[in-house]
Amino acid sequence: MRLGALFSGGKDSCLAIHKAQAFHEISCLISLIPSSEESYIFHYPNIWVTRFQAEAMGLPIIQMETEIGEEKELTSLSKALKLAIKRYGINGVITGAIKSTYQVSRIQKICNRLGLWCFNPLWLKSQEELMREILKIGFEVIISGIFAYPLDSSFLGRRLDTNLLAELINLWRKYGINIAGEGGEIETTVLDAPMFKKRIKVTDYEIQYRDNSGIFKIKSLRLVDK
Amino acid sequence: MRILLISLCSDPLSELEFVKPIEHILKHEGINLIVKHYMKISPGDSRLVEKVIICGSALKDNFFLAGEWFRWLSDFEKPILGVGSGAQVIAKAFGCNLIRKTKIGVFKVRLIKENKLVDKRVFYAYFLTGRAIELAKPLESLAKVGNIDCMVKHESREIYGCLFHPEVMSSEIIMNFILRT
Repeated sequence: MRLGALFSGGKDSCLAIHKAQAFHEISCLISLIPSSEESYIFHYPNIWVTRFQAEAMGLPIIQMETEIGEEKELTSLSKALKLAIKRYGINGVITGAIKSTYQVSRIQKICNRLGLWCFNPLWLKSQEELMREILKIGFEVIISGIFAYPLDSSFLGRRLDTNLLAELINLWRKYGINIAGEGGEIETTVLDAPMFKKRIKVTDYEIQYRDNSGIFKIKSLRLVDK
Repeated sequence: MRILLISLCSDPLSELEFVKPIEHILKHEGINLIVKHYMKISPGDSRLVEKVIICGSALKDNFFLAGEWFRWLSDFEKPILGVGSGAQVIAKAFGCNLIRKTKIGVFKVRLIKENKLVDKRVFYAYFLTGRAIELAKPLESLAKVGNIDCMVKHESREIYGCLFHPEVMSSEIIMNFILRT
């Protein structure tokens, strides 16, 4: 089967691709670029980096800007999928959805309308298990957004490792923060993974932070040999 | 207690979405289980287990409806729970028709008849189905979403079907099946 991967550049969409590649060909990545930070569904910080992640994986990417508003974003997703069918002949879609019935049911409906298979290989996976799997596989992941108390600017740009995971598990137990970040508490950016032929090196960045909310904004990067 | 978990997925990638979550719930409760694809079930498997759960499948995956793979269900005397597409399998095995009706998302479910699996009169459940059951004896309705029978039971045996996916929002249904039937 030829799959299009809904791709945010974060750990979940990368892990979904990693799992799907064991069974199917990933024909293209599909990224929606919200024109607003208030995007209802899609990952925001460093979404521009997806073009370079695609290049690192050696895959084509469809990047489509979405208008503001839930329904408009879904219309944009539908348009992007139609383009992926026409340009790359995809017959299925893969997502990194874990728990959100809101997100997954909307994607399922669009896939159903377009006659596409829909795969969600991380569906209902436990937060801790998911993070441990990412570490075990050897993804290089940084925290690129934090949006919940008591997360502060010290987390921005930190690389996911066993120490950070232990801290996040502690915060999960104490404050109920979703350590996999699907509730929007944490956003991540993947700089390297087994399917990357080159890795991403961040050469300039800026931290924007205020009141337990902030982003690690990648301003420039380059692809380097592994 | 040992449970047989049956996969209906024609694509192994879908098993991560439809089989693994149920497997995870059961393993978390310390329940011993065997996972098998429906095409690989042998007569000996049913003798080795106390109960059977037939898991769901992707919306576009209907290959399990072709052929006579589930003829054994009508003579199987132990408790069975069909989830999502698994409920379609049970309906078909007991002579009900399946009609095209797509339902995707979270919907309010109303209990019609008291039963061992559900204690609430109203609850929310996640649906991902392309077919509804045209109810006929020996199956009876336990719950409805709108005018669709979304939870069914054999009138005299411990055989249940949930057209929705209890593993998503109502996992107590799965545990009640394990502990109460």
